[in-house]
Amino acid sequence: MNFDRKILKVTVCIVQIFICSHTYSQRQNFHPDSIPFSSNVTLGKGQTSNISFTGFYRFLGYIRNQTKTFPNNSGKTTAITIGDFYREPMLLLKMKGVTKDEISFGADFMINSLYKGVSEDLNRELTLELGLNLKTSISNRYGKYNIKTGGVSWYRQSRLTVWGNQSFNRTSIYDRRPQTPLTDNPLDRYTKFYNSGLVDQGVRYGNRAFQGLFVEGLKLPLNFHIKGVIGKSNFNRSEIVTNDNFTGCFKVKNILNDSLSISYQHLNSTADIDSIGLNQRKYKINTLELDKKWDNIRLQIEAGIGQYSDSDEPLSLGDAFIANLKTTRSSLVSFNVQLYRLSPQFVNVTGNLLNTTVLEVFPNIEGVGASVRLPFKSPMVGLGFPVNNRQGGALNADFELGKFKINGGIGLFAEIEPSSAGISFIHNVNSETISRLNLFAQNWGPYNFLNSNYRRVFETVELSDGDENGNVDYLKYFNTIELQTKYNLKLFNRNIYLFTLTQINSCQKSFESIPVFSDDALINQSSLIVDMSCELNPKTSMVMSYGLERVKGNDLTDLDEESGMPRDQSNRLLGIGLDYKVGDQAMIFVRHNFYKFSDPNFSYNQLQGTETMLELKINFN
Amino acid sequence: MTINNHIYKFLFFILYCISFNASSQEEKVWFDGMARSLFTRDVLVEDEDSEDTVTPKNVSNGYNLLDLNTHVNPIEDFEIFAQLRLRNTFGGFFGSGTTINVRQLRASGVINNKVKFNLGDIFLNQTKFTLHNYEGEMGLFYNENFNSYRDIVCYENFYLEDRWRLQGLQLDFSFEFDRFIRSLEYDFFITRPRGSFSISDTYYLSDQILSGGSMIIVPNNSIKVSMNYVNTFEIPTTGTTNISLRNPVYHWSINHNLHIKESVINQVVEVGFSNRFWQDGSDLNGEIEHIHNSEGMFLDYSGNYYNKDSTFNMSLGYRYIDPNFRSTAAQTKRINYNSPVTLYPDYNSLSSNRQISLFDLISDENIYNQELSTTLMGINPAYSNILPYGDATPNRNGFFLKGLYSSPNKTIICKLNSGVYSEVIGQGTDELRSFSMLQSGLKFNFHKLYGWSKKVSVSALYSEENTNRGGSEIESLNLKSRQLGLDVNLEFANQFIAQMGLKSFSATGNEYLNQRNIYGVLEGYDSVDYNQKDMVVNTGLLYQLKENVYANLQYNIWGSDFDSELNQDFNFNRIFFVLSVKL
Repeated sequence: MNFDRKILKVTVCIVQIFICSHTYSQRQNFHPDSIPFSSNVTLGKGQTSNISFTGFYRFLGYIRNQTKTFPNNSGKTTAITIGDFYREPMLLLKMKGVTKDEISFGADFMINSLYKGVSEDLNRELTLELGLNLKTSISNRYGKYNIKTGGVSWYRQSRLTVWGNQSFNRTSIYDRRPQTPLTDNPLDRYTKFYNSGLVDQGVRYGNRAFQGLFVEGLKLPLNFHIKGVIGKSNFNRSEIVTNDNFTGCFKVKNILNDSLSISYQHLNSTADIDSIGLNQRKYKINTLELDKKWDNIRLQIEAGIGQYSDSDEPLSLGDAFIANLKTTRSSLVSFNVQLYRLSPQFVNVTGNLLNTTVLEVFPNIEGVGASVRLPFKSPMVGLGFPVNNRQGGALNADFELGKFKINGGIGLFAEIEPSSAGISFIHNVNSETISRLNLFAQNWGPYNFLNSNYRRVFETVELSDGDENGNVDYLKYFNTIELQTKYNLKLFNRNIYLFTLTQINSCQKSFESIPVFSDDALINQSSLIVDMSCELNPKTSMVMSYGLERVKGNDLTDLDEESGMPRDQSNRLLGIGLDYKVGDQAMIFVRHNFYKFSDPNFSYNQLQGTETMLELKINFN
Repeated sequence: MTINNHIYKFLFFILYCISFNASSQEEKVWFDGMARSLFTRDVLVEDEDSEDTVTPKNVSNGYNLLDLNTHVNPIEDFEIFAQLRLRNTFGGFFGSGTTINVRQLRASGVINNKVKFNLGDIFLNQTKFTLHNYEGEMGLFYNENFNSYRDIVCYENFYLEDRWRLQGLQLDFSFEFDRFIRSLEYDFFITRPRGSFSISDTYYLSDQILSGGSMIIVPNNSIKVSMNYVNTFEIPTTGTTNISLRNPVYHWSINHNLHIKESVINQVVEVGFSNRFWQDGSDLNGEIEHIHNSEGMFLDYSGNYYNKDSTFNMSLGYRYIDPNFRSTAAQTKRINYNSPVTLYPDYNSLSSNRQISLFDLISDENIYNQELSTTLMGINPAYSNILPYGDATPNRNGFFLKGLYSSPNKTIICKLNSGVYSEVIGQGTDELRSFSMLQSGLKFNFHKLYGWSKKVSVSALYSEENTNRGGSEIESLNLKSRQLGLDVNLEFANQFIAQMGLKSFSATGNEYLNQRNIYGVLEGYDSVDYNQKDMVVNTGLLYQLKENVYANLQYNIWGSDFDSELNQDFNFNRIFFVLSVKL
């Protein structure tokens, strides 16, 4: 009661004050500009920052119907989902701001919804796709310095230290990725692919994800340039988050003249491998790079040494050498020669190379890098993927005959030291389809052959002639041929594009000049993918794809317990789709795929079914 | 999930606003905020003969965060404010370690051009004895070179000036008159510092409310009379406890200014009283009993002299605070000594709990407190024993002297804060503690003195607290704590400042720590001996683009030595980097 009485008194008091206000309102002056007492902080408009948003909305309706499944399948054969299981944004809202002090900041909001019911539990959390970044520049008479903190940021400095895997643009563009940009019209994507006949696409996939402090110095005295980062990559990580695990690197470049530059690169990666930080897994790399241009030729050479160590005896110094000689101007025939030698002791997982000698540098930490496990045991890969414990070279060339464009390459590689009794290879057909069955899983499938990483699946083949340590006593040799053709014709005044992609890889015990198809090959992988796009009208394109892959092993590879026979896999894909422009910066894409994966010798390796995808993508700026 | 919904709505609202009308966006929606990148790496320094195989040798942490303040002005004089925090842990990739939270949400405006209101997250301050966030130890231990740490601690704990961050409604308005009095000002607020929450399935704590108001009468330019009231109370029906708090505090003050040419002589008299009790409704007859009732008054007088050009000011005053004066919103401490430290809470083969040390007071944002405490919080007499609860510290009676001198061109800046106090009644004895304190700071700006373009400054800080009590061997106590700080700042290139600093702290003697029950009733004393030395050495590099835009790289060497078998010494090294940007 006492409390109620107080409330009543206060209320009466407030009413009286308002009555007072009303009574004297003719005489008094209220000055909002004066500053009367306030128990709260005085609010005012401070400095403002310019903020803009760009991004896209992408709806992906996905239906998979499996008519043949692996025997250990859950029993569920049809999946109806929004998105294709991978962590991709439905609404990507890229925020970019600049303060009055010219400091940039940015973040990318990722907003997803499962559309799986109205329960709040089914709504996904708002999160960031990559992370936060702060960036500023300082200019003085000694140069311009760009400083950036945060991440994830994309960084590269040289092929042997930090560089993303570069492709030779030999791929099927039938499949669409979330990042695939929209073009003005549906056919433009295929037109651009047809026209961009370069052997090397440059920086397209050439960066690595880093977090930390990034510094770049430009226009320094004596034509020096520097760049560096100290922070973390998603490789070489400690089990305990707060333990030391850092990767730092820098590059010092001197431009001697317009056609010649030299640079020094350093990389150091360390990670505690026990809880108290007594032992570390670490590797250091030092390289020198030369970049020389002539009229029509560009030569890039990088050479260096690296050393890896962990709780065991450190590996000896490892040498590395990689050289590229290529034409720079478009001409009838352009070529690219790549030679490399990467010793087994040269360990790096952030460079443009696959590590095959130290498994532990791959993280297996949830949320950090479980998804980045790459082929490890003697990978049989396409051109443009250097591998350590290997040496060899590749010649790539492309030329045009009217509307017929051809580009291709041939490569020969050999191991430097005998390695593990195993080979791994990445599927070229149905790779994304199969990876969606079991995301980021290792050693799965009815025979535990399969390993999934981002939108790809690779297999590990065990060899039976290994010793008790699991190693073979011979060198493995690898041959690769890649051939891509592009053709454009017009039918009823409509553009039609035809693309073919042939890839042949083999691994055998002896040196051969071309891929081996006989049983002398430990494993042979051949694939052909034919894509066609047909312009129906300016807003509509029809696309089709047919893929066929054959993988054959010999008797030294895995044998089925029942048949006693090695791999004889075939992978088929038949796809048809439609690209339709619904408005400016908005398109619909439909894909329907029939897939089949079979192996008569491994009876459980049978997959068959269909995938249907409806994608609506809207960009906004 | 509710927060997520808020975030969704908020973001879509931003989109809507942006897409609605680009030309009006600048007027109706504007942004500011704060961004920070932080990295720390701490190393445990061990003796060579140590065989600690359990405690990690090093720990590293870091994050990037962006507090995006969105101000929406839908109509003139109204604003909706939302602070969205995006935080990305250093080392988390592709969404791992990412959090997005709504940190503040507030609507404010002026109703009919007369009544100003704020609804939501508000920052309140009334008087030193009713509602005040006393900086306490924070005012003692920060050298200039630790400003980066201080910024983080204050920002993360919402310490804005001397205000408590609360959630509720605040109104203020004023009248100006032609005759008799110059103006009449009113201010009211009602907030909820703590909502009801469950301790167990059947035991719910009640909502806690803090409300209050002020009326200020300004008869003329020289005199200001104010009356203030706050009440912290609990609403018993919102919980299942039968006991609920009442803590009204009443305050009156008269403020007189005498203007003499370029100076002002100001005198302030503040008086008031408090009452704190708990209503016990557990009686089956329905009668409500007041338990643990404590009433107390206070009196504070200060005479202040200051130059209008801010080059000199001095305050001399007297303060009397009853032993039973209790004011929840004025006596709550920033530091919670019961909090575990963030960095190496266990050491010495994980067998020792590390207590809060000098460096933790400087750097650990998690030991600081944002919630009001209805009883007196625990203290560490070594770090603050004379005014641990600020000017409203109960059971104090004494004089204080404060001053500041700054030469006209700021070549020399001197600060002084001193006081001599005694207890009003003895604790556990008739003998009274006597206290003396001295805090002084001196800064030389050599660049101002010699006209250099690059900043060169040296600053020193010295503080001392003495506590004595006579009587028998059991009654007597003597505690001395001293602190010395020295900073050197040297600008070697434009806006690049090299930092060097040293801070040492020592406490020797003995004290008795009060044992209080959950109602704050004194139940006993623990005798504690102190013989402790804390030390922090720092070197660093500061790039100061603007006052609120800087990058700071520091290397700190710090530790504590205890001449005691109860506590093991510890020493650490730290690398600290922060990039702080006000957007």
